[in-house]
Amino acid sequence: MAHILIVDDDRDILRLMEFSLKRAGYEVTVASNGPQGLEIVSTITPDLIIADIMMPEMTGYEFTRRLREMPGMESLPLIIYSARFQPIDKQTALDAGATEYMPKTLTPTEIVSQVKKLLGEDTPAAQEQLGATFAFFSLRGGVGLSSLAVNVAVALAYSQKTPVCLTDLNPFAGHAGLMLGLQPKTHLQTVLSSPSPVSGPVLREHLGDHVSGVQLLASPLLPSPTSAAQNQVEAVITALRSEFKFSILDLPHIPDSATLEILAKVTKLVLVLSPDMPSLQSAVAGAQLLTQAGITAEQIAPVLNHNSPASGLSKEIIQKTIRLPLAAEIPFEAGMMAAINSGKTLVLHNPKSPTSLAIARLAVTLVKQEQ
Amino acid sequence: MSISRLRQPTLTADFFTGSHRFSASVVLQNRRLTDILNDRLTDFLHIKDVYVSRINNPGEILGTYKTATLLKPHITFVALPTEADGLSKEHKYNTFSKSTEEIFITLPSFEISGRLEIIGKLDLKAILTIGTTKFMPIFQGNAVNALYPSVTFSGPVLLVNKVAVELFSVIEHG
Repeated sequence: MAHILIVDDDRDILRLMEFSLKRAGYEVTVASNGPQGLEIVSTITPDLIIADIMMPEMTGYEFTRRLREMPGMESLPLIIYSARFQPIDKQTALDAGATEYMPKTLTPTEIVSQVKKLLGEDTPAAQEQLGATFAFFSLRGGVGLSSLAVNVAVALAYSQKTPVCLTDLNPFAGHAGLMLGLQPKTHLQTVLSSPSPVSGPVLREHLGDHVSGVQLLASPLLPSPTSAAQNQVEAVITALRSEFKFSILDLPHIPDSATLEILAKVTKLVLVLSPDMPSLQSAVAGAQLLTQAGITAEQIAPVLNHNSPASGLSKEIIQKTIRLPLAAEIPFEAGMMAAINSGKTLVLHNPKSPTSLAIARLAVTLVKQEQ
Repeated sequence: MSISRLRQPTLTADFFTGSHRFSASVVLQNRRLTDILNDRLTDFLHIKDVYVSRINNPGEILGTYKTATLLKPHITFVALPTEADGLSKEHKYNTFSKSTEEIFITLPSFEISGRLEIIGKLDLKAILTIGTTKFMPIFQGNAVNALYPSVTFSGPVLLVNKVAVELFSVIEHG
């Protein structure tokens, strides 16, 4: 966990920055003026410093110059941020030795994003060290998305012999817990409303254990009065990826802006559809929405789920309409309902059924494509 | 919400005279800075957390002062951090009869270009008549110091003191 020092004489801004950065999973130390900031730096070495310019005892420029004179501080990432927003202010900050300059008109989310950039947490190399995330998505309800996500999570945990985290991102009344036969006491909103910053160890305290090795982060039963901010959801995803080799996300049918923003960060988007016209129309719209969210065609894995015994539209028509090859076709299984009703997953309840085998193959396909 | 807005009810802006730049905060008390500047009852503007720079070296901070008073007639223009901070109620709600003109203004030591939003018919004399507003908002404004042309300032809104205007012209295209 990176350690960030914030130096600002404005208590309100210190509190807001501290809150935002802790939420994003960073350890934060604050100083209310330049001399105090320098004193802290002489005892601990932060990974990054954020300092204001307009401070009465010592300006941010002077703080930067003195910091750079300290042994070992020559190249420490230092962001100067200020209400002085003229180009000359940026130039003066960089001349004094700052690594980056940010105006205070930026939102906390944008600042967190800059911090990540400077710490190299958004580089391809850093991303490669994180686990893979497979998000299951459909704009239409009733296509069997949650049951597919749950069964793929179990199949993955079994086939890869590693714990898999399943996160139910539905804002409320998600069914993943029910399908796994778990009664989670905490959920995603509990994590987000916790005073502790989101991190791997904090997340683990809120996960429900399933016998298969799946760790469930459930959705709340009832709506929360506050919705999750983008950087909060992002912090959860980052923490999941740092803790688990594989994570599955069960996305809501109507994704909010926070969910849409994180889509570009997932490894694969499993676009689930059933063989009927409304579902096909939703799949076309869903694919367009994903493209707008920055997802490439290679990242989208359309899966045709036969959730009823009726034959419906053919595989060929579907592929031609959505202009993407199907990653898998899951046959109808009459026993799926019984498995859900008993809180047992089909892949454990009846592992030899054609549906279970198709789900297991899908899990393997996702892993292979990721590698 | 931007970070600078958290410290309500204050707004931090750059105030310019012919020779100095003052980066300072103004206590808004439920008013916009434009309304405070246009307040005809007083020529004094109370500012706090003042950072003073000379105009030829505007990045360097000469001194800092907890509080100070600026004389409004000596302010040539004010650079605001966001467009919303510069809109008067008149500009905010009048959307039908508004037109935009590219303008060029000279002030003591500064040349300013940008967009002026005009409500009604274009009449240069009427715009410069003090009336109820002493400061006029210039959007996407750019200010060049006439003595040190490498010294420039810009902002989503520059509030220009009408009293300080020497030349006011509309740029005509084509």
